[in-house]
Amino acid sequence: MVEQTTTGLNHRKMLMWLFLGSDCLFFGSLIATYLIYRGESLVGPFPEDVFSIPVTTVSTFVLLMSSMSMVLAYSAINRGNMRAFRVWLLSTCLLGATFLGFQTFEFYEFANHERTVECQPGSQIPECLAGATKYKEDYGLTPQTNLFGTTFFTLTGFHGAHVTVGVIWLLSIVGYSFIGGRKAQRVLTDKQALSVDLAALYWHFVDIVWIVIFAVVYLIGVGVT
Amino acid sequence: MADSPAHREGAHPTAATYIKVALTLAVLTAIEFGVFYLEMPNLVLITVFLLLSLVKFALVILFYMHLKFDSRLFSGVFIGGLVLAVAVSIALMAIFQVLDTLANPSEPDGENGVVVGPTPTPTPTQVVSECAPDDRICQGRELFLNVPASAAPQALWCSQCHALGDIADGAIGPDLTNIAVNGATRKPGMSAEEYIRESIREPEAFLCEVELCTQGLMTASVTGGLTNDEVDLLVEFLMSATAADDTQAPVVDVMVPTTPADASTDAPAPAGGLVAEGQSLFMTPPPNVGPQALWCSQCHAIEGLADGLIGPDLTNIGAVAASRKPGTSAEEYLVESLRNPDGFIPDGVERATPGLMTLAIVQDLTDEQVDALVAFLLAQQ
Repeated sequence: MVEQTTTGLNHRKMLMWLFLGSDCLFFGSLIATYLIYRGESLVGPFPEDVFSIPVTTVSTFVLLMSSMSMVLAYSAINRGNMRAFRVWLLSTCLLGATFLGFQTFEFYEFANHERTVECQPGSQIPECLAGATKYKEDYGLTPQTNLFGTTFFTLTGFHGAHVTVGVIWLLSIVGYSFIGGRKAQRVLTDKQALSVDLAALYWHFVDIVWIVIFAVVYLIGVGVT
Repeated sequence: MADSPAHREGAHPTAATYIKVALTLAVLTAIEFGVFYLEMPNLVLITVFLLLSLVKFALVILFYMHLKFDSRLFSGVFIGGLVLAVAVSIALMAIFQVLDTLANPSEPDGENGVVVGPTPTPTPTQVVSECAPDDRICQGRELFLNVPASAAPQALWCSQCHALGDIADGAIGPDLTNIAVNGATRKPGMSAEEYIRESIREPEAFLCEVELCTQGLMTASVTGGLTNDEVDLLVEFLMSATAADDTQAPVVDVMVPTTPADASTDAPAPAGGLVAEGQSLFMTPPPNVGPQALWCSQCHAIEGLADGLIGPDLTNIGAVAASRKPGTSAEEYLVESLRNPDGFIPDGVERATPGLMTLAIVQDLTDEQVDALVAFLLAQQ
């Protein structure tokens, strides 16, 4: 059913696109801030000390695949295939949660990073007293450590929050699809399909933001010296 | 559903198309990963990464977000925001001059890379240790008096700012003579050793109420480069430095015997007028500020006049000030540096440590005093 609007376009969908357009400014500013303070940290750890490109490539892949399962869920509900819809939507949630797991792991690793320091003659560090030539000491990255930590955690933290909101949103749609029993499963209303459409737009947006973060913050951030 | 405007076209992609797009996205990510490990010029890497992510970005919004098939108004709303975001980002980076350094990080910035002074004051370098390998106190003493081995070229070392008995006479930070005894009284529930360690690791965690204790001057960036072992050395040295001097009256925080008036008597006779007033301000504390005040010559050198080793050398500042910041005249640059010292840190200038010269140091200067200082500095050709 066509909504009676001046544009002929659904208001909720227009609002979602407006929100995504404005969210570009939000993330654009955070990414620019990261780049401005890139290389300005006076104390470590620095990006090359903590980033693990292979790990982040895998988590990037996971998020890209979640976008695929999201669009397949969208495709399924438009064909009226409720079973396939639920399977793909749950897969999306699972992949999104996996991405968040990677991010939690990454943050934890950064905060507990260590570095190896050579023992100086006469050092009182227990490892050195025991005869070792090197010892490990804390070299963790937190938002308070340096400009890199501040800008990195602010940027990726807000992205992670967006993903978290997305996972909760998608899970609620899965739950919603069970309300009304068999009747609701047979009859897909425009409203339901639109709800999925909006959540999908949000989810894909979170994905494209990460595409940029992965390239600019991680690949360019470490690869370009 | 089928007749809603978004889907009226009937040109919706099939599941097969979606999977093809996903495969393309995966392959592009794999290429990015591979390129990352290739040794390539920065400009090539940046171009490749930006192009590949742009293609991925476009694929997702065109196919997964249906902008290819949906109303162009949606595209307009989103692309409008996106273009605005990119423009704001580029403008921000241009303001902070990161675009040049991102492409050519190794090349010095021509306009701002002027090093002050024809003969920069030699910076003391790490001396070869003369201490026995197991003499921790001696090593701590060397660390106190010299650049730490682990530090960057702009590094500061303790004795530049702190006084300690007969061996150091820094007059910028608190006197550390007797710190092994007094340290225990500074922060309730903390032993002297714990207090010293915290003060090195987190200089801003607790500020004592002693003379020469300017807030925010000793930042974490001053001590952040120290390894745990170096911190241990310093703590052991400071704990021992006064332990041997038990005969001294311990509890009073002894003020360093630095009399600012001495500095002015050493200086050549002022030339008269505004420049002379500026020179006097440069060499001695301004009369209108409190006892904790710092003055210029404590940190800055001018050949034949002052030998501060903490901030940039100002010997030739009258000649080079105009070239420091594009679009800023020599006088404007000096006024800005005095009024807003954190506002602009020139590249390539020795000892231009960001954040060290804080607003707190200069905020009490009157406009007349700033004018006098600028006149004096402009005369340093």
